[in-house]
Amino acid sequence: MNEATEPRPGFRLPLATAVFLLCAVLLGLGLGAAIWFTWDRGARIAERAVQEQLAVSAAVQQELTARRLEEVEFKVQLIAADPSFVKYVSDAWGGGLGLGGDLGLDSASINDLLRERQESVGFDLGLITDPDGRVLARTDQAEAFEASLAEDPFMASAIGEARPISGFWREGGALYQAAAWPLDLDGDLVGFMLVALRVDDALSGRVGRASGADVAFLLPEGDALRLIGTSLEGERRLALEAALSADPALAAALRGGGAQASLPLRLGAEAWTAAVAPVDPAGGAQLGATLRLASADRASAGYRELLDLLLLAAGGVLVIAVPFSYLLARTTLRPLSTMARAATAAANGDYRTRIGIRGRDALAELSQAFDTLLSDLREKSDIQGYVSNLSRFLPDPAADAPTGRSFVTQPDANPGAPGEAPRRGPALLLALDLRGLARLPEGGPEAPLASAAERARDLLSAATAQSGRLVAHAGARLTFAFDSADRLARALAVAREALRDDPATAGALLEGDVVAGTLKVGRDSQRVLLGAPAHQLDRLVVEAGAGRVLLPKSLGEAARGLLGGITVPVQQGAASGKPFYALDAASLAPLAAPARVVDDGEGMRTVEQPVAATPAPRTARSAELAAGTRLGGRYDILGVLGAGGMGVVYKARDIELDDVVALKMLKPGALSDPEQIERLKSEIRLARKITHPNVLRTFDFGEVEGRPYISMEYVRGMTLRYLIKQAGRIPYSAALRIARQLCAGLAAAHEVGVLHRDIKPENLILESSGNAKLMDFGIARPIQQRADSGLTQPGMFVGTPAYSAPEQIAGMAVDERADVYASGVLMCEMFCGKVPFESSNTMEIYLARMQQEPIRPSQWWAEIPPPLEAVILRCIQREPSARFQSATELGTALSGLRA
Amino acid sequence: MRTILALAAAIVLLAVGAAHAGTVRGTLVLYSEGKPLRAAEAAEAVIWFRPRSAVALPPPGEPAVMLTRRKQFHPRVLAVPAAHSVRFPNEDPILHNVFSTSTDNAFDAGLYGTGEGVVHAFRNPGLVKVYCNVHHSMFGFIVVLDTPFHTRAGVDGSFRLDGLPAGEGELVVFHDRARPWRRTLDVAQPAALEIRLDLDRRRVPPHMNKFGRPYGARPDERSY
Repeated sequence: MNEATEPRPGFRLPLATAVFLLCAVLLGLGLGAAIWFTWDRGARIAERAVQEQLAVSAAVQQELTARRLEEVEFKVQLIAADPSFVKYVSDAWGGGLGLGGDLGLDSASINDLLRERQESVGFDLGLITDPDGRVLARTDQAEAFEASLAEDPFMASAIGEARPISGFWREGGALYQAAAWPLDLDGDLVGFMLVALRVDDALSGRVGRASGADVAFLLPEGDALRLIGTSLEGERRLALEAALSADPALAAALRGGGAQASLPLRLGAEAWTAAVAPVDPAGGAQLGATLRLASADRASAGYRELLDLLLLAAGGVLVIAVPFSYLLARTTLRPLSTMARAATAAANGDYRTRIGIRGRDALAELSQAFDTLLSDLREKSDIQGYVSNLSRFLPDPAADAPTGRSFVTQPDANPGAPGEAPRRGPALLLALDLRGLARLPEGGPEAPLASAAERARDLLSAATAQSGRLVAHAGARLTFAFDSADRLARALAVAREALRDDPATAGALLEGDVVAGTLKVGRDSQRVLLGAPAHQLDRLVVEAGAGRVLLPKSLGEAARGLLGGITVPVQQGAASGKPFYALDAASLAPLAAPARVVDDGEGMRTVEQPVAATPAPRTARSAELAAGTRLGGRYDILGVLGAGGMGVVYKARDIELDDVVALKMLKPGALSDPEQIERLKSEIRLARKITHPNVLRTFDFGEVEGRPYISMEYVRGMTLRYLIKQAGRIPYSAALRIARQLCAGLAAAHEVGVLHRDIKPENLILESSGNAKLMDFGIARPIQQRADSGLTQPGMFVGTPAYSAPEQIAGMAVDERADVYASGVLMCEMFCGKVPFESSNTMEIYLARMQQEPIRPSQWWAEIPPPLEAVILRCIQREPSARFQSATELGTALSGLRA
Repeated sequence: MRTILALAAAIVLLAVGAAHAGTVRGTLVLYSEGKPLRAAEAAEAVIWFRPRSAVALPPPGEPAVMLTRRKQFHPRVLAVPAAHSVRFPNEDPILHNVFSTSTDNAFDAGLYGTGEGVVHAFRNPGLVKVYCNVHHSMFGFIVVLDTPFHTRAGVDGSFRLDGLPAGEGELVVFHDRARPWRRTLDVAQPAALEIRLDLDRRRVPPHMNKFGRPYGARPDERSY
């Protein structure tokens, strides 16, 4: 059994082997137990059978013996009842009168008469005694020997009391069943008649045959036991005699005169069981013992056969079942090992395995769930990778092409508002040369650019924290301008930060009058710094060594004051060799700690600005709030996230809850009438109820300084529009994941009773984790129609025609299926890169929807899986009843498509 | 001389007388189980004397009688000298038979009803046992003597035998249930004999239970 389970390299199934071994062991144990039990039980049953046989034979023997005795009694009575016989005996015995004619005892005649009777009646021994017990004649002796039976224990009572007697009678070396009868002539005792049947093989044979057990009669003679009769034949008889003579203990037990129920005996090679009983309990041990014998072997023969059969069957079962169970264990549990391998791979980040077991049992279920899980993980990792890849590129929010309203959120790389106005004036300039970027790693351009961007971002954050501005950016060199009151301290703080981050960095600090602005050369816009200090700064940076910031004399003296009067180190310029004040990170250590920096853990920093902070540069739009403004005593504006038709969206900190939120400040004139405000509030009330990971949460509605605002969840990520713009189309698994999440969020909204009515890629934001959130549920535009009233009101169409359902464009009643339609259009664009209807204005779009068939997605993306195409096409059916009837249904259909 | 002659004559006379006029007398008492029976029972026994020298038997006269009455022989014991006959009348209303198989004296009278019966002469001395082959419990004993001197005891148990020849002889008292009492004695010496005869011939006691099963050592006694 063991050879088969040797593990082969590369094909180990320890679980299966264990299961198989367990099964085999259990099987073996079970069979073994069955066999042992049967054997044991069988032995006991055989033993019991033997005992029963012996017990039954005892009763039969007794009966037979009794019958034979009766036979003898009848015989003696028969003979003794014959009066002529008695008279003959009486006559033959003479009178003793001396008269002559006395014949004396004629024993020959009596003998002859006895023999005659023996022939006719049938007995083994007959004898006649005189009234005193003297033997007159006996059939086994021709001569009349002088003998008396008066002392014979058997005859003594008969003779003494002149009464009949019967039973076992031992005479010399023979045992008889005898009956004695007093012969009388009209009451006068003439003598005694004794008739006896011998106990011998013939009797034993009869008894044995009738009783079912063999029998043996033993007579003690001196120290030995003599076998006087037995039903055993041939070899067994000899074996019994041998056993009797060979085993003195046995002989002693048998001679003891007591009864024994069960005595094991071996006759030759056979096992027998014997029961001992005295021949005549009342007669004493000298009458001998009977032995009832039953063959234990014969009794158990049947069971032995059964056992042999059972052994054979068990062997057969094992031979068949063991390899079979091994195979079964292997085949059944192989999927488990596959799954284990897949799980291990997945734990290590590799989600590519697919198990694909079909069936209905638990293993198939498990494998299907596993596959689903892996598919989910694949999608997640795909989209995560995709999104995080894209997020490395700094998005340019100004490149939006609004087809209605657009809303952009971007990573917080440049808190400064875009499109900064040029300015001129004195400023403290800090130039940082990121020499650490000089050494390019292996591979493509993406990695160095990414690290450059990262460092730039870090420095920018640091500078911004110290109220600095980025005024020039050229390759690996960044120039910041500080113009606050304590600008030197701040600039030095930033410098220290830069030097700590990368010891290879070199910098220079200079003060002067400069012009800062943007310069458009060709297609590119760039920040530039003009003025003599700019050139001086350049030269100074070149002079700086790695890890140093060079300062001119005046600044150096000022720095010394800030640093607590230390000796400012001096360095030789790298180019000119002249001495310069050069500060390194160590020497900048004693600088006072800069303003508190809050690190939100993702490389971005949020700075808690004091209330009286320097106002951030303002944008051209007058209604905008500046960073640092405290709104309504509750919100601190941190920056602008985007702007749209309804108002500007700010990133703010909720002071009360100490949380970052997005505040949409509606334009003061956006909502003119209270009715609209009321409607907006009720929409918000509904939208607030939607708590779903795929829906951007609306928190609150309020009014501050006369301006209504809506507070929402702040999410950092990019819109689907941006993704599509960057990549053309989204990869299948990522897009599927986004689509499913869209459906989930939509379903949650529909459940609450809110329709989106404006589903488009601009309204779907993706976090860096890949999670998609649906935003702007019927909020930032006037609510004109209510879908639940069922009224058909022609009204103004608001929405995005490219994504709207025909009934929506027509201004008719809309329900969830309009959202389904828009989702279908979005999906088409997401998967394939283009919308199914091409057109530029609303009317054309509407006509196209109503009259033409949609362009099949496979036209845009040839490899689209047909099930996906079918789903998209169903979404954009003209008739609402032909589409998926709910977002849930659409979601279910999408779940069927797996990456 | 005369005295001598007289003496001699007296002696001779005495002798002769003695020789010709011996008497034996005595009393017979039967004992059974150690206790004496009534004196009248002694009449059952037969007493005879056999002198040493043979004596001529008297010629046969009237036959003796042994009758059957109530399925029994009466008397049960009868003594006759040899050559005498015995008659066997039947006083029962039923048929009886008389026979004997005793040596030298065997006879069979056949079956006969009430009547005189047959007469049989017993020639040879000896004990003749007489039976009825129909009724097995009927016994009779006829002692055929070779001496004429026999008697029975009287109702008082006394007996007397006269005319016995002088000399020695044997006195025998016979009862079928006892061993024969024998004594050799001299007639000339008279003595009153006190004879005690023990009827010690054993009897078989009733031993059957009412179903006819004998007593015995049987391990398995079943009663239905």
